[in-house]
Amino acid sequence: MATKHKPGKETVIALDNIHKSFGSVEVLRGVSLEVKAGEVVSIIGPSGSGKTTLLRTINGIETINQGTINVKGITLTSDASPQALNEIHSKVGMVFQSYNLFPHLTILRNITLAPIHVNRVNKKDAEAEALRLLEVVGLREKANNYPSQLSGGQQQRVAIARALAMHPDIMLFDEVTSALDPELVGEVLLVMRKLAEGGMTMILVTHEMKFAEEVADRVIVMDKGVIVEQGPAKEVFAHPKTERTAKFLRRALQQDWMEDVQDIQVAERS
Amino acid sequence: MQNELIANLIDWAPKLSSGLWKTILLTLVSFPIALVIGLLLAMPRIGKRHIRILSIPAGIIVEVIRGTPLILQLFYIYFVLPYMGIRFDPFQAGILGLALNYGAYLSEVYRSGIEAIPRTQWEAAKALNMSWAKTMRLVILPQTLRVIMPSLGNYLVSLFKDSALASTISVTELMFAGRLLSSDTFQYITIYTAVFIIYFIISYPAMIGVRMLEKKLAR
Ligand SMILES: Nc1ncnc2c1ncn2[C@@H]1O[C@H](COP(=O)(O)OP(=O)(O)OP(=O)(O)O)[C@@H](O)[C@H]1O
Ligand SMILES: [Mg+2]
Repeated sequence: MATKHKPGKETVIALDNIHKSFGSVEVLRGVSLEVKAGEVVSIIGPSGSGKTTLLRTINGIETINQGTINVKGITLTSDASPQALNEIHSKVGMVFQSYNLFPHLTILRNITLAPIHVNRVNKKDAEAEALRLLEVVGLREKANNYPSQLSGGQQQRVAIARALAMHPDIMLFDEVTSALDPELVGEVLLVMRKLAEGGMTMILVTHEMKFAEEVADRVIVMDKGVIVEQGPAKEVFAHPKTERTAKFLRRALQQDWMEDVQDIQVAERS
Repeated sequence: MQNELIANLIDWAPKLSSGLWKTILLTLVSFPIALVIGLLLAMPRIGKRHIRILSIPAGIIVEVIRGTPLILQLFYIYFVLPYMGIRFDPFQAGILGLALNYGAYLSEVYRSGIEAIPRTQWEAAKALNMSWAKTMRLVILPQTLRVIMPSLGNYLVSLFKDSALASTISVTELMFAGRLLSSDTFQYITIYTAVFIIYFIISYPAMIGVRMLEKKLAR
């Protein structure tokens, strides 16, 4: 197993009592959380518990109704200014379950679009940087292809490179391997593991329990809009405090185990 | 008989071809203007909050234009506006009428096209700190144009045919030339048949082109 990067002392994300409603439905009901520089936090929990919504509030895609978000000295409240939102967008990168690459642009253009048009990097530098990032995710030879010509796993690696091109301090990953065929999951996780080892601060929502256990410094369990448990993965997995968490974990871990069995079966057949 | 026909056609050719030239000019000038008007009318209705206020006037303009005949709009521009001190020559009035009318319809094409682009594209752009305007220009519109290209092609062909209505405000386009010639010579059958054929010879390949484009984009 790879050596874990030690998180620093500096707090880079501080969420205080976040509330978020869609219409009359309260989806986040008082979430507080601190993340240190270089820390890797994994969020797990049943469907509809608010994991995605929480991530989206951290990078300002979703506004909050109550509470404060502090990211690297930028504060967001319920009436966040467009300026503050822009600063948050630029500090926090996000990767989505469905990749969301721009289908009309080549891989290279997907990555250079925002650096050129938002950060005003000149085209040559932006392209050099994009090629370097493509190298990191192992896709340099795909620079001139279009997203539709890539597999899901490759597209997701491009999406990671695209987010990194904005030089974020924090990366958010929302179930980035859930839409992938099982055999493509590993290549994406590998890129994420490299990032974590490089000291990137990361929050990831994932169903990959093994990955969470190996890479995350801390696991957070959400249920019905609140954090119900948190701690090192091993502890949380071994000694869940509530019966609901235990039940959720049993199902999730079993699924992981079943995928392993399937992998073995596939390997044996071929 | 046949010789006479050919001689007549040669006689009429300059007038018909100058009419055709005007028709093409009318189409090719008013269509790009309609594209811009359509975009301007569509933006407030899909835009962010601070331009949303404009969606009411934009909506009224679109509904009024779509709810009245094109020929009446042309008459209004050419015969009524001069009473308010706004005067156009026939060709200008024709361009304006056609561009406004088609702009109103095209705004609906843009709107539905833009709304068909998944919300996730907006979110991805937002996460990359792109502004609304940059997202629209660099991410949403290029994809929209691709989707609505066949529709735009159909509207272009349709505008080419509707430009014949400009003859009613004495724009000397193809239809007007045909009417003039036939009332001079009383050769209704030959002249209107010739005009018929000219319109069709141009619009038919265009229609086939649009259909091919549609197939190509559907893949
Ligand atoms: N834009 C929205 N409008 C209305 N309701 C929403 C919206 N987005 C999310 N919700 C609701 O908020 C709740 C939490 O959704 P969220 O996507 O955050 O859950 P999740 O924990 O990520 O679930 P999953 O594991 O299925 O992805 C759900 O009940 C969902 O239906
Ligand atoms: Mg989710």
